Amino acid sequence: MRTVLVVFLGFVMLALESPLLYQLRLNFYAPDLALCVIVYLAMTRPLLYGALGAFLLGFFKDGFAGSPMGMYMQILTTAYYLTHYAVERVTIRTWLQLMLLTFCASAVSSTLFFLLSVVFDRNFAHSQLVFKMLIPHALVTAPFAPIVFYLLQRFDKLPATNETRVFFE
Amino acid sequence: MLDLFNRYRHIWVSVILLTMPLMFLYVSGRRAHQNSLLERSLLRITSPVQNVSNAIVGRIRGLWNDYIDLVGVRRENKRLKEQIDILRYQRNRMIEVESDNRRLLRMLKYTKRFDKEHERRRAIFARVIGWDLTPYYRALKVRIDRGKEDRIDAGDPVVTYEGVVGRILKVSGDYAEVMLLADSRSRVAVKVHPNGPSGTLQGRTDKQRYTTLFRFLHPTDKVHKDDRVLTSGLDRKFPAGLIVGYIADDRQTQLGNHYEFQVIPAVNFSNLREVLVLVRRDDVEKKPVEKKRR
Repeated sequence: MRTVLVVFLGFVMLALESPLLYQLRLNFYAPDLALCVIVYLAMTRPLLYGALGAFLLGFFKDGFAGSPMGMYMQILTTAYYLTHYAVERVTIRTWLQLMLLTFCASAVSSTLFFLLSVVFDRNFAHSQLVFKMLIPHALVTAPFAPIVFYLLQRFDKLPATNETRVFFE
Repeated sequence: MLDLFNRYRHIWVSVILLTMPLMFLYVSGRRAHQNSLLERSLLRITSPVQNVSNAIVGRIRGLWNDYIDLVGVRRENKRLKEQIDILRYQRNRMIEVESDNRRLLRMLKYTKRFDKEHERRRAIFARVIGWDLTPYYRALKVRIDRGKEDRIDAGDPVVTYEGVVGRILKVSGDYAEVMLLADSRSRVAVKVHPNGPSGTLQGRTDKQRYTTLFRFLHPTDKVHKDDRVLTSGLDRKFPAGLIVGYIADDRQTQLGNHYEFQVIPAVNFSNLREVLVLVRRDDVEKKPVEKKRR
């Protein structure tokens, strides 16, 4: 149930992200808030619940971003699995480690975006731009991870739960 | 079979979650110009939400720009106000300079004409540097920046291109005092142009305005309102033909054995900035010769 609430919060973030970034004229340097939610799910949820959440969030992102159906579903689900895999092997306890993990996840998602576009989109002609923006985009997204984490943890605390927290305890 | 599914549930679900988007992508790529049912449903969910969020963010931004983020506006407002002050000052200065320029040009033209027409006197330009204000009346004396060095003597006429101002009362060093026509001690021999009588123009001390009285001996019906009053030259102080003022109204009043009309001076004494002193040519030419002899 709480996973659904987190996905709903991600949905709200997606809804606000696009107009906010348009108003602030930050289209190219926009942080990927959905990816931050995915990293959060990967660190706090059991594999299948988190994967379903990531899939759903990808579905919504496809709707908001106007990308071909399945693009972000694939990217976010794959990013979720990879992050989950990484988190099982590496201990993440500080904000810096969290930002580094988000940076890597962002770089992976940009690469996936490139690969999927090349394979499935015949008219794709922005490969250079994707690689040019890969690092800046990851750098912009990483600092937002602690903020999103903080918000989601506050949100997670609302229903009574005994689950152990990874961060900010 | 169910047992097998439960045991490898993670793998099955993961495979489905990872392959389904690829199928969507494939279908979407094949039918790029057609939206599937799923896509249409997704757009139906996201579009209204996006509209609402857009409106909210737009409203927040509007509030921020119009009511909160006014630091820049205040600074710009201050800067613009300062700029307006500077421009206003420059504009006033330009108007003043233009007015000075126009007045000085007219003064120069008048000086040239006067010097050409008169053999006995020549005009010397002087600036008004001070006003003698009495506590009870208007200014009746002004001080100019020319004195003995410029061969100015007491009694020399003082004029502008508009008309007679008065005469030199006192000369001290590099300065001289001018008694205005409106001073009650002032007397000028005048005549009414074109066919009016001759007489004397006498100053009249008045709190409200600068005014003078034209006095003559015999009653006349040849004087009308706005007739020009000119110097007659009979007092041998003012050259003949200089404008002194204008008849204020047709009413002539008798005072003893004199008759009088009120005359409005031609010169506006309130705006006096520069004047011309009409010095004797004889003096101008004589003095350097005397200096040479010494």
